[in-house]
Amino acid sequence: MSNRQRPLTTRLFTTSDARLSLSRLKYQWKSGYGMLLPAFVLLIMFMYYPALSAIVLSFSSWDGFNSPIFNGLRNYITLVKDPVFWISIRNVAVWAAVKTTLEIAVPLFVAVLIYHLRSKRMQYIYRVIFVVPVVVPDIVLYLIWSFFFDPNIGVLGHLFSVLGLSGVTPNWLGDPNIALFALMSVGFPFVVPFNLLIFFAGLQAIPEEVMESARIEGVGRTRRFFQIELPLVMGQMKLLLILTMIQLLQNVTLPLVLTNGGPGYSTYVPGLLMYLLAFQNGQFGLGMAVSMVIFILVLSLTWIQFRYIRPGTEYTA
Amino acid sequence: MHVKLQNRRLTQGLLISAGIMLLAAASAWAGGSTESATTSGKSFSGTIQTYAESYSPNQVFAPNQIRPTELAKLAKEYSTLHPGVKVDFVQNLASGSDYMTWLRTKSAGGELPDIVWVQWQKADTSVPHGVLTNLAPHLAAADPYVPGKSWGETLNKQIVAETRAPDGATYVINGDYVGTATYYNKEMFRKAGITTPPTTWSEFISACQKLKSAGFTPFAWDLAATRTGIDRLSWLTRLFYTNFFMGDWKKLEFTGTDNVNLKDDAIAVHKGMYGKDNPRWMALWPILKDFSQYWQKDFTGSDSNGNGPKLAFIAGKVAMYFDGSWAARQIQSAKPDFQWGTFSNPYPTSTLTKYATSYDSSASIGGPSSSFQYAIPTQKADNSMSPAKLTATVDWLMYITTAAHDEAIVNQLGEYVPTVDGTEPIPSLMHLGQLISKPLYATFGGYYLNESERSAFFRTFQSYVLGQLTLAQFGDQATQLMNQTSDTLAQQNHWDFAKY
Repeated sequence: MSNRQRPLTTRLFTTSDARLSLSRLKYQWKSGYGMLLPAFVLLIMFMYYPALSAIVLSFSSWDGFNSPIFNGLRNYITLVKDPVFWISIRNVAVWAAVKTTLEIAVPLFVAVLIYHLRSKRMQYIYRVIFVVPVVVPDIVLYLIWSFFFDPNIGVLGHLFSVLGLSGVTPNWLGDPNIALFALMSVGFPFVVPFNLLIFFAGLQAIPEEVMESARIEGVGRTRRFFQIELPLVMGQMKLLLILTMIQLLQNVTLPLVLTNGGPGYSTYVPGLLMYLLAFQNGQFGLGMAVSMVIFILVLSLTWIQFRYIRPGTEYTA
Repeated sequence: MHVKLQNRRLTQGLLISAGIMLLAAASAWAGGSTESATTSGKSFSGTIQTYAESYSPNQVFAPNQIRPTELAKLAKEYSTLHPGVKVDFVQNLASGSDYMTWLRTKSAGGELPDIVWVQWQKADTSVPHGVLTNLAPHLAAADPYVPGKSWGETLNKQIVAETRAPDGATYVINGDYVGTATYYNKEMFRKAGITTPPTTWSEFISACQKLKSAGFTPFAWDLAATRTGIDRLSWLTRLFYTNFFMGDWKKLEFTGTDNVNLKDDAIAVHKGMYGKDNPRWMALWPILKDFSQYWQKDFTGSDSNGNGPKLAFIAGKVAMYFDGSWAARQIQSAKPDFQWGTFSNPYPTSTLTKYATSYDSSASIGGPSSSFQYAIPTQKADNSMSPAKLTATVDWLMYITTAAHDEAIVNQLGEYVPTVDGTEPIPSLMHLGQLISKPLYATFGGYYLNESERSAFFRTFQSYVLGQLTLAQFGDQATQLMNQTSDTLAQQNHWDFAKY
């Protein structure tokens, strides 16, 4: 066996070995690390650096223009003592609980319905119909819904009026008891395209033999769903639970556009609090402290889900 | 051969990536300066970027909106007079956009235009220290376009004094004045048996009662927690508190300036003049809650991007609403199918409450708070600003604030009144023109010490009107908010309240 053929660890490291290592390193550099470098640099500049800055600046008083002044834990103490902060936490907890349930259950239900259509062509058509709305930017959707809710020219008010119910038309965005639920209804009928596609993919990954044997044994639809389909898409559900919760906890645009957190604080959420503290009040340090709290909240919930939601089976294609 | 080809492709890929990164870095660096502004001592040659608000030729226009052209015309004339200097207009933000957020983020990046629009009150409360240039030294300079006078002498001295910051600086140059009024549906008034528009608040409430009995919604008010809604409450606090405290006006001018400024308000809060322990201050809130029974049903709901009350009025759903002098043309162009008119905002009298004085405070809602309020950023907020450019930008401001030019700019829109000495408003706004040289007696009564306090105060008031808080609870919370903010302002600005 020549030196070239023997493993490097079992013999002396020669000059030709060094040349070989250098050559391999150069190749890996050009083919792997080198090509990753620009993306990595941009990732650090635009993702990690701002996040690290936010962590550091959350311990300072900063108006966004002048130099920040370190103030220790004062921002966090201010938050803990601020009743508005706790109101926002309560609101987002309610919002997340209701909306997560809707945005998981409804797309799953629709995915199952589409999955069991006999015609592949119809499956495709329905999938397209439900997914096409994803091209509409969220802000456009929110503005359309603000039009729906408008007390002067809104569609919902007009609908109530046509039905002879103008006397009982709710003050959708102006009643503190229902404003939060009005915001939650944005997105009705809650068939989230992304969630639908993920669940559909999960259902498609179920081996045909499993479904066939269920059919042969005469398993009913309900039992099939709860005992076969649901456990086998638990992996997808775990992913979507995490993503949906992250998205809801970070929610800023919807309450900002529709209610600005009002009436009172009935639609205040931590994301909105963070935004208003920073950009309305010029308290960037305090806003960043809120963002840190949101981050810890999201991290905790994600850890809990990873720890306690274990899919019965992990499927591979 | 295959390996060689692969290596060449990989190297090419690396070079392309590096090139893209270099280009990005270069454009980010170059984006900060688009001209060759020369350094101190040399005359400026380049472009002056101006954010001109309503007078800008560069904005998205509504179908019937009058297009302002005067400022653009003056910019061309100015360039002819000063070869090498060009004036460009930054596009106005879209309607409903948060201008202060734009200003704040642009200043953080050193990217503000060379002239920005700023409400003079916000130069003290919302704009961080160090963003705006103190123009007071320039007011003393000779005005090259008005021989024999300094720049300050050509402007409205009353307004210059009133819009000065507590630290004595002048950050904002004013050129127009806005009034507000109550717009009313003449036909509804006729049907409700109201023959003359009300003058006092008591007469106004009586008119509301008659309208309600006749089956009409008397008034449209915006109490949504939006920027407009939050701002509108300050109209009512000014209307009432200016009247209520007129007997103690001199006492309110703690700092001895020609107006009750932010620092005076903070001191008044600190001393308890504004707060739950002063029954004069507390008297306003039950009056406003009583007024709310005459408002349109969904007054806390969506406000149609700040236009809710106006839309409700134009649609004939309500009999009255408050708005600024700018609304007259907008209502006209909407061609409502009823006759409408305006009357001065009704002010409180002793018939309403023992705390009212005889002062007619209807003009206190308006003032030099309109579109012609221009400021110049510092070099830190506008990286392109240099001493030479500052001189040129001030010169451009001097050019547009001569009497002839200010009158032409402001009167073209016909919504506001020009304020530079020697100007005349359009005939229909003559009554407003009479106010500009009168002292602007106006106090917010502690509402609007800063953005944070104003928002929180507003939401507390919402809760009170909606019945979620009692008057005592509202008083407690509002006073606590004002006190905390007053203390914060004192700390931030190094104010010593013990001196007053």
